[in-house]
Amino acid sequence: MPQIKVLMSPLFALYHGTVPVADVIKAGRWDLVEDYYNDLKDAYIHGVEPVLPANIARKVSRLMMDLWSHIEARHRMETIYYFALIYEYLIIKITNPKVEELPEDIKSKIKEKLSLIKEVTLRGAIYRFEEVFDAVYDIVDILDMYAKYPHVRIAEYARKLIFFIDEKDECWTMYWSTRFFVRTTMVILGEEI
Amino acid sequence: MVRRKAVPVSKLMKLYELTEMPVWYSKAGRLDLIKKCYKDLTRLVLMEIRPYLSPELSEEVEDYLDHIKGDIQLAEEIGTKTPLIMTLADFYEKIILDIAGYKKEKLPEDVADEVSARLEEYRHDIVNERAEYFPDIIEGITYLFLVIFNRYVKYPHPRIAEYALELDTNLLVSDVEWSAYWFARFDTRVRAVFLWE
Repeated sequence: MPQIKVLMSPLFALYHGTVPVADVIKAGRWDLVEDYYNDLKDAYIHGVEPVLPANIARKVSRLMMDLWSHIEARHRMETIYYFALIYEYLIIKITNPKVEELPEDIKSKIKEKLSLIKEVTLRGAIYRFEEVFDAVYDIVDILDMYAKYPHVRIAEYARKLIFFIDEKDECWTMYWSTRFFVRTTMVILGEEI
Repeated sequence: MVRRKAVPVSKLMKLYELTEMPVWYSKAGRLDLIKKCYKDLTRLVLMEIRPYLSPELSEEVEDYLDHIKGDIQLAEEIGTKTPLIMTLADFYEKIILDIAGYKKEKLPEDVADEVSARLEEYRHDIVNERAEYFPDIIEGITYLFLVIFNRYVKYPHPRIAEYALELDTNLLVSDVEWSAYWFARFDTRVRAVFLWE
C-alpha cells in the first residue's frame, strides 16, 4: 500500500477527538461526547480523509455514521467502541505495520479469545472481567510463542487493559479492549475489522 | 550476545508496567514500591530484554540502571521524584525505539537547533516542577506541531501526536508527575526521529 501522508496536527486532532471519550461517558456528559464527535469528524474530514484511498475513506464514513447512531441512542459502551475503533483503524492504515503470518489453527484460537473479549466488554459485564483477563494473557502467551515481529503497541494496550480490569473500570476497559481487539485483528490475524 | 528475532509481548508488557507504575507510586509516596520496581526492572532488562537490543543500546543499559538508582537515592534524600520518573520514561522510550525501529526524518539544521533548544528549556522547567511555565509549554507544543512539524515532516508519526496530547492534558491540570512522564517520552522520541540523537 502506498504511504499515506497525513500532517502531524490532524493526527494530534484525531487523538484529541477520541481519547477523552471514556472519561466523558463516565461523567454522563453526552453534550461533550457530541462535541468530541464533531472535533473528530472535523479533524478527519479536513486532515485525513483527503489523503486516504477511496475504499478506506468509504469504510471510515460508514463507521462514523454507526458511531453517530450509537451517540444518538446514548449507548455507552458502543459509543466508546466506535471512537476507539475509528482511531485505531486509521492509525493502522496510516502507518501500515508489518502483519504476522500465523498458521490457521493458531489464528482461530486468537479469534475465539478476541470475540470473548469483545462480547464481555461491550456488555460492560464487570462480573465476567476475569474471563477477559485470562483471554488477554492467553493471546499474549500465543504471541510470545509464535510472533515474528515485536508488537510494542499490543503489549502497551494489553497492559492498559489489565490495569483497568483490575480497577473494574468498565469504560476504560472498553476503550483499551477495543484498541487491543482492532490491532490484534488487523496486525496479528491480518483481517479487516 | 546473540540478538534474537522478536521480544516476547509479555516482556514488553512487564517493561511498560515497571517503568510507568512508579508514577502512581510516586503520587502515593510509596518509595518502597518504587525500589521493588527497580529491582524487578534491573532483572528484567539485564536478563530478558538485553539480548534483543542493538549493541549500542545494550552497552548503555547499565548506565541507565545506575542513573535510575541515583534518582531513587535523590528521591529518598531530598524528596524530588520528577528526575526518576523522567529517567524511567526516557529509558522505556529508548528501548521501544530500538526494538521496533522508526522512520528518521531530517529537519533543516537551524530548525533542528530550534527544536532542540525548546525541548531543553521545557525539560528544565518540568524537571524543576515550574508549573507557572506550563501554559508556555502548551503553547510551545502547539507551535512545534503547527509551524515546524506540519511544514517539515514527511511521514506520519502517531505516537508523537499521542504523547503530545497526553502531555498537554497533564500540563493543563498542572499534574507534575504525569507531565514529567509524558514529556520525557515525547522528548526522547522527537529527538530520535527528527534530531537523530
